Amino acid sequence: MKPSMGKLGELEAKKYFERKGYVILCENYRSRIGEIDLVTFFKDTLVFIEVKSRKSTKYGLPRESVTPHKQATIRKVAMLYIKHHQMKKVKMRFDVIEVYQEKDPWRINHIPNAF
Amino acid sequence: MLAKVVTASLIGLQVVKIDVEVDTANGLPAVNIVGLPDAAVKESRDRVRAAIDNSDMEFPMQRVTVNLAPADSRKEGTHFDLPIAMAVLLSTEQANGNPLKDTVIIGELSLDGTVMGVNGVLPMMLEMKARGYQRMILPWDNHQEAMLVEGIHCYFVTHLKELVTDLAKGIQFELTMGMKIDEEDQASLAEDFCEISGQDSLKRAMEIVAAGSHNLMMVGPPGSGKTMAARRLPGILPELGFEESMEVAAIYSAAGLLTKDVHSLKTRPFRAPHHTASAVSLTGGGRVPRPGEISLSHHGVLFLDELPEFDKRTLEILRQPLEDGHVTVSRSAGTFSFPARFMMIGAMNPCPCGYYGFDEKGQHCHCAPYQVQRYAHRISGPLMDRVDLFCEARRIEYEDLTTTKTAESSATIRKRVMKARAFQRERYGMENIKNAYLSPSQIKQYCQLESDAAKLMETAFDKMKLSARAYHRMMKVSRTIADMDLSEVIEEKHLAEALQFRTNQHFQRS
Repeated sequence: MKPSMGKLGELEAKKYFERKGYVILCENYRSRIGEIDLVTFFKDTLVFIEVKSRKSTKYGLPRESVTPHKQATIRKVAMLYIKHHQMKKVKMRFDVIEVYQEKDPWRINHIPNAF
Repeated sequence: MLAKVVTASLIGLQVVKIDVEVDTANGLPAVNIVGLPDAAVKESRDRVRAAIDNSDMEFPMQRVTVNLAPADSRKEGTHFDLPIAMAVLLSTEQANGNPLKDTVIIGELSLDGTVMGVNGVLPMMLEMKARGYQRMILPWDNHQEAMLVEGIHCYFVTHLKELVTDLAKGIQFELTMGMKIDEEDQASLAEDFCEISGQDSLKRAMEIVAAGSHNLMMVGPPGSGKTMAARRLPGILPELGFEESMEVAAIYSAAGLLTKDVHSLKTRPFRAPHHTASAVSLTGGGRVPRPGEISLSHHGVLFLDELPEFDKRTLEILRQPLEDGHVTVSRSAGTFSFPARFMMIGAMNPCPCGYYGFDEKGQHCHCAPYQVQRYAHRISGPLMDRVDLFCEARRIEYEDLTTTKTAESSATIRKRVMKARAFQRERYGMENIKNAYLSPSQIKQYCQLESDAAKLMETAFDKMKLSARAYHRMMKVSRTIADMDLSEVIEEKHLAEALQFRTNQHFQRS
């Protein structure tokens, strides 16, 4: 089956973070309430990453679709991840990465500490 | 990036300088307004976004934090739209901020970027001018109002886009000239004293009241012309001086009642609330209080027609303002003081049927004695004590009504009033006080009774059982009557006339 555009975006984002020296701990960490696209470790910080891909900005920027509700879900899932892996005293951060799939090569915009 | 713009906020009549700080930082798009914004201010976020987007500029897709400093006072009103929009454009470097240094910005935005007029521009301008701000950017709709203030460099804006282009190529400020005092006599009044036939004592009382800013109570049967006379009072009052008119205009501006017509600013306010008015509508009220009727009649006339029909509680609240010249309203949002230096003109019937004490030619009172007493007692003693002059309005005779000789016109009476006021001004110098506002120590200083008059006063004080306050009011009224005669000392006849206006058989309490 052909991978979806979203999946391709996530792969692109993963490559980007590997290039930057982030350690990928988990992809698509799933729980009962939701999912986190990428869980990475950078220097001393645990970074949870939401990847957003868009083929056009006709309906708004990718980052606009990370609504407060979605942010809350990601936070909750992150708490579950921390609990599950016993990483209570670790610094952490939430990032959003936008993948613009308008034309080749895809443009990537990284928003550290997004919320 | 951080940007800062100056604006003002109005709470009651109190103006506070507000710094609008906007910080745009990378992050998910969000707009947060902090600094105790009221609901109308919070909504400005959506107006600002739409206005900027519709003016061919870009609202930042970043985390925008708006701070209204000082953050401890509540912010009300819609005039924060324009300063917030400008600060957003500066922080994203879409506008040239250098000319905006030390410039006060006020205005409301509509969704298409048009700048709309707001209430309270005048008091804000006056206060910011006093704080040393020389330049202001204001909505075009407030042009006339702004022109009243002298010596401010103003830029009047109609559209957000226009302001931004002008900022880029060099903005031109326009110097306000202040109010033009044209010497043209008051426009011909629709209502003139010459229309009132007879009623000489009532007219005389009106003239005294106008000359000294006193309070007056008219008693008479229905149809005797009490209301008619009161409505003509503004026509014989002198025009407002510059400072007075600024005070009045500031109150009206804060209440959102300022008319576009600049000429009308010089006529003294005349307010005639209906007798169903509530206490709050007179003093001013609301969560953040707005000025009420007594403040709206500041430096003018508050006419209370059918006085006994007013709610008792409503009348009693007039007591303090009548003495102090201002009213203090306490609400959860804070305590506010509004100026309320007005002339109270009351009109009433002597009894429920209206003819008690005025029976003549078959027309007579058919009220029971207790009804008459109860009617008069609806107005409390303390309030009556604060009235300077009582005047009866008798039924008008047929001969007076049909006479062909015309009575004095308002213009003639007004000239005499002006003369008496000029005489007062000369005596009090620059202080600009009126006879009615003299303090007891000033009464001692300025109201010299001639020896005969002093004797008369002594007898009257005992005979009429005057209160200390009534005595002081008596002195002030006789001072005004002497002023109308251009006499520096108060003679016996002046005092006698004042005393005659004090005798009120309708309110003799038994």
